[in-house]
Amino acid sequence: MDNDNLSRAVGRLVPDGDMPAWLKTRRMQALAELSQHGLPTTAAEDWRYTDLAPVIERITTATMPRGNARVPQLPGIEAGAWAVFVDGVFRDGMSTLRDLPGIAFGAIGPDLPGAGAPADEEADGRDGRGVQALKTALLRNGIVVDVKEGARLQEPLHLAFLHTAGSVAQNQVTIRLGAGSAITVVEHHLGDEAAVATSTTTLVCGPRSHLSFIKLQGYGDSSCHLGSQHVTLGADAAAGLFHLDLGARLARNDLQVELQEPGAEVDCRGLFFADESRHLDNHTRIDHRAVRTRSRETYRGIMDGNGRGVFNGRIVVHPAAARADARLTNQNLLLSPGAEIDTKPELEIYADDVRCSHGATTGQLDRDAVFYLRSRGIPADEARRLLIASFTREILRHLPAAGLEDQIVSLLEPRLPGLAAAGAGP
Amino acid sequence: MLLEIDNLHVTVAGNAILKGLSLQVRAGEVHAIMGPNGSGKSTLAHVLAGRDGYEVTAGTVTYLGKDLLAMSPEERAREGVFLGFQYPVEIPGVNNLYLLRAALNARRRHRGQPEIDAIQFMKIARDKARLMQMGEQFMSRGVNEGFSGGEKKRNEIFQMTMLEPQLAVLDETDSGLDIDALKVVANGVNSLRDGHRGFVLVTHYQRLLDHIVPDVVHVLAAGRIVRSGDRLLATELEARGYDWVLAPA
Repeated sequence: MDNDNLSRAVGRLVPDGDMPAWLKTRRMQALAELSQHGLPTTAAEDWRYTDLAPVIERITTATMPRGNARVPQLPGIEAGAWAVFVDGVFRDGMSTLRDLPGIAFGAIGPDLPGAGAPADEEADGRDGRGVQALKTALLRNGIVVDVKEGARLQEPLHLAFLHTAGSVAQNQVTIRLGAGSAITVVEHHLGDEAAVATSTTTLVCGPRSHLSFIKLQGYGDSSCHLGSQHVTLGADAAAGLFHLDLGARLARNDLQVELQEPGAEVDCRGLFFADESRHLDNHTRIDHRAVRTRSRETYRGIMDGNGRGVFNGRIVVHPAAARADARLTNQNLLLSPGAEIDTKPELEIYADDVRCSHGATTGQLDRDAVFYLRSRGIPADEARRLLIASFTREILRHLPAAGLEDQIVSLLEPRLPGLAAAGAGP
Repeated sequence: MLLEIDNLHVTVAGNAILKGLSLQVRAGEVHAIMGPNGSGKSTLAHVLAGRDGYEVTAGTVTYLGKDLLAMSPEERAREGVFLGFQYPVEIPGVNNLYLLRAALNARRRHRGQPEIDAIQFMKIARDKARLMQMGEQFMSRGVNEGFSGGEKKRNEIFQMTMLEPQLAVLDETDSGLDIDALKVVANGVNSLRDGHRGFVLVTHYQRLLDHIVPDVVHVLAAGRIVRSGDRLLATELEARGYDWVLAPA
């Protein structure tokens, strides 16, 4: 009965109007799925630490967005072109991605990955059937960007997922990198009063292509967010991924990387900052499916106040992935007695001749370091800020976006005061 | 009197480490504290700088007429006390000079002086870095980040020359230094000797005292000063070891 209510509430949130027939069909299927199964509960292993009750509560009390609602401003970043979504709807008029040389883009269709087509069973289990159904049921439209073979874009492509107050919406983007191409994509999630913002980004990297991808999650303190990225890498393709997880009341991100062909490699990093009563959950999964594939993954978490972090990193080395090389670490800082982290790095190895390691550490600020700074005249609270900045900057140093570091650090400054200054010199 | 320690008793995790230590340092003097391992030398240095985990169960420490033990570590620093660490901490991502300018300005604000601007600061920093034979790239890194043991010690003395303390307590600054680095470190210390500042050098070896000539040498054993003398005491300790000093006590 609760699931029926949820399904009906979701159904009411999307105007039926100018929607292609295939999408209408998909939506109906998704709503049926949702009323049958609902969203995952904490009884499901992958959702053990993340209770989606706040998501359900926001959906059932939401109304369709008003046309005149205030749209969040785009961040002040000069370089690159923008693809702008407002409440899950692509806005061609606000977007400038036409200016980017070497790409083509269009609307998603029924046959494309990430368009809400039923995924394989394994992926379903991961994302939670119900979450996938919710996203499909909320889908209005989306874009597919093709980076032409051999095109190496100098300027980044910014995806702006903007949400007005009270909105419940799904953002959907697919980017396909042609052989030997290169692009930097920065995904900005913004909306101070968004209710439930969901997203699905599909990144298909052709042979020898190079992807840099950064997700900046900066929703307001009352928002809920369910995001996912699905990255597939062809032969000798390389991806550098970075997730900055800073906002929202409750946010869950599912990153899935498939090292599909020989020589593919990925470097995943993430920083989540769960202060106040934020709940931030990062689930990652990397599949090594071919020989000579390489993965590096480092996530760092900072928990303060009554914040709660969840990290689950899983690496699967399949039988075909001889000579795979995988390394996974998660390092966490607990800054207050009320803060909490649940971390679980997992390694499953079904191949021979591999090099794999994983580990997690959790601790408080180094007392020796606090004393060192105080012995130089730095007040205790400032010393604490500097050490948090140090922990943060150490991972930000690996941002896979040449030329954007300073701008990204300045976006973080309001949440992590002193961050920019600490690294900049006198 | 710059520093007056009277009958200081300190316990760490329930163990008595300092057991009635008394020491007087006048302005302009250099005191060397020597002694076998475990005698309480580093404990003394840390207590003077205000590290937590050290419980003072009796005694007083008076610095320029004020109760030093009542001050927080940062207050002590702003009042002109400097601790050179035996094991300086690495703080990657926090720029070495950023920290130093913040430290210097904290001290200046405390004294009612205007903050130093970046240009003026850099000018002084370059001069002092030259004295300590530190390259530019060495200064632009994170605090002690990736520094060798010797580089960290030089950085400590570089910080000291920038902060110009009234009282510097150097905890085994000479350990792990080769002879060239030792001379550079000694130069840095000597450059601050002006007849007003005081120094407490905690050291294991006499060789540092060839380059920084002390006014008084103390032997610390089992938490107390068991003998004091002039620089010749250090030479004698080097030649004969500690046993002859400890035996009668």
